[in-house]
Amino acid sequence: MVEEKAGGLLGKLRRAIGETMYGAALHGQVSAVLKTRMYIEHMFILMILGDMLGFPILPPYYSLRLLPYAVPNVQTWKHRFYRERDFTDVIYG
Amino acid sequence: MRISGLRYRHFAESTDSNPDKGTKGRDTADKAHSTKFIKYKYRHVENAMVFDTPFGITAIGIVVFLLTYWGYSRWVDRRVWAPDPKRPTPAHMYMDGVEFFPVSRYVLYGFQWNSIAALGPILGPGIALTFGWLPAFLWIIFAALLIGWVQDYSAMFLSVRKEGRSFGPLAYEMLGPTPRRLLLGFLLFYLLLINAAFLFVVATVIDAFAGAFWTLVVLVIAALITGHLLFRVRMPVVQVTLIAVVLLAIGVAIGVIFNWPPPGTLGTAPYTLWYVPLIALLVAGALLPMPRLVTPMNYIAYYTLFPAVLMLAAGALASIFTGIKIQIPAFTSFFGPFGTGPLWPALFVSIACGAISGWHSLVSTGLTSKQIDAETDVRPVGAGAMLSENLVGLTALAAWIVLAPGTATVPANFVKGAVTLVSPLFGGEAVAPALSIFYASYMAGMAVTILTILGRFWRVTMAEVFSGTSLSFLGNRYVATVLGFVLPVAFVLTGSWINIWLYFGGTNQLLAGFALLIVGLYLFSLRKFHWYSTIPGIFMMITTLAAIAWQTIVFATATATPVVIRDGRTVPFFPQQGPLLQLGGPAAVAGVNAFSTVMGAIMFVIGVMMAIYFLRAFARYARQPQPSQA
Repeated sequence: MVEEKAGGLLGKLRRAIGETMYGAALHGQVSAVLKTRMYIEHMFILMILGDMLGFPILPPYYSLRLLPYAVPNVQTWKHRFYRERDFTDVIYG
Repeated sequence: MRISGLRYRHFAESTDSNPDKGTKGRDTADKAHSTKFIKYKYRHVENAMVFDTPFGITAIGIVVFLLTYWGYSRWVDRRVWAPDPKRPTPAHMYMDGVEFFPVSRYVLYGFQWNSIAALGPILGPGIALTFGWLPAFLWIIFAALLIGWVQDYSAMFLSVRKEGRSFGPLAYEMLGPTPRRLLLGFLLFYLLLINAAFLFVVATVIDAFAGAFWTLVVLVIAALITGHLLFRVRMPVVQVTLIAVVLLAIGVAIGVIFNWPPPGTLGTAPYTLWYVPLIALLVAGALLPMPRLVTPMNYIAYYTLFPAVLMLAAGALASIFTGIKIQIPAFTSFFGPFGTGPLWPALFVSIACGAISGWHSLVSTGLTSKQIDAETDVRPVGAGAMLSENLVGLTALAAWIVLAPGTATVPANFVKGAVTLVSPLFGGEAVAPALSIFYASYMAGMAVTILTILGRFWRVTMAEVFSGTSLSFLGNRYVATVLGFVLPVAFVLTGSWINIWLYFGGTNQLLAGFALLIVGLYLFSLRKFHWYSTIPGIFMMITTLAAIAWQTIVFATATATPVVIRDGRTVPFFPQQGPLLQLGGPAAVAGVNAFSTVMGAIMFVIGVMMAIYFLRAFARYARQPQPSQA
């Protein structure tokens, strides 16, 4: 759960307004940057796991050297990469 | 109904009416009221009928929105969806810190509202005024109460319950592969129409208020600067925001000072050369990475959206004191001009996002549903944001109805209405030039941010569809982006923004009907109370198909008779097509109208096929045994 911070009514109101303004102004930008990073990460993991998937990109020496950095993210990468998408995701996904 | 609307005025009054009178003999009260002291008194000046000004509709609307949120939406939330705060949402189930992660409800509310706010609620009421302000107002209220929030909220909840899936996959699961392909094909036309409608409006607004273009240029430069400061320089967001607001203010000031060239210099709107720099700007926005231009521009444009709506709301509520009166008649006729059509269905598709919009279902199922922290957040985010959008539509209606009758057919006149409503709050005529540029750039900003997103969408989709085929050049990122903006210009050449808008509204609301029926189908499959979504869905399907059919007939008539004789002169069927007639003759006019006719016919056929698939799906689920668990 998102942590609920303590505070009186005024504090909660200030937080609510601040978060709403952040959401309206910046959240879209942050999400876009995260998605850009996601695509770069997809490329990175594909490069490392490529030879196991049938398209060798990097020589195995380098992909094995980089493998420890990729392994923690493989599970989430799999879910994201194989998640069903169509172009409704491109519009606002 | 006459309600005593009190108008107060400060005035200085001296109670000593006889200066020759000495202080002796005055009573105690008079001693206090000497001419040395100015006493301000409030005095009932005159009664003002509440419905003479936009105050009445705005106040009633706000009350209805609040009652809807705390009444009907709460009932549906508890009785139908029964949110469980302990049930993990996709944000927790698939948390990856990239697409799926829990976000505060207030952040998502702000994001949802900013994403769904566009030109729709601003311009739609203007066309609806063909029938008078009362039908438009009643439609906004009716939709706010029963339909608008239902779509946003329910689509979002459905996506949350279905692992955060987007609209397309949800359609596939509920309806099957063919309806999903139809839906995706429908979306392509729909997005083409959004491009056309928004391009049309932005070009005409910029032609009328050229300073808004220069403000837009400053906005683009400001977006590049703030994007760089935020993500390369890593400057704190508060400082970047201050810089952004200052740059925006400079942009408005430049627009006021440099309000050039005069209207009509680059051609008669909508046949204006303003499309060239506009499309160049949009192509650049679509080609650059989103964090470089599009999202910073959206971020800065928010600082025009929020004050614009706030000022309109304040101006509408204060109109009872400022005396700005409604000029449009309450009701004119059930039958509008042939090009618009009768009240049903035209009214229900002209006010789009301010009442209900299919675009919102794409937003609700796109990103928001993947970041909902707890199921209890869906109502404040989905329903709350849509009711806020209804407020945007209502305040826009307030701006339109203070204009003289007959002026609501020009998009740029919204600026005049807004300035009329707002300027008394800031000193009157003196601030009118600045407010005009502010509201014109607000309209342009709202359109441009959506147009750049759609341009990017076209680029990605055409690359996917055409790369690796014999037409692979169409998948080239530059070709695809340019085509994504040039094709809508074919619609724009029809010249009549009302008809384009009604086409756009028809497809937009039809998509909303699809979303409502998909939700209804899901609830029906679980044998839950689905009528709160199904009935509005059926209403929207029937109404929008009728509207699309009517507009198709209008364009078909314009194709068959591209020119007509009026007052002894040969004029085009759509009067605004005069420049096109001069340029290319009746053949060009007929060609453009034929293009629109074919588009309308295709959308109508897709809509009817989808209706058949929905009927089949309902019948299929009716035959299935009752499920054991939701």
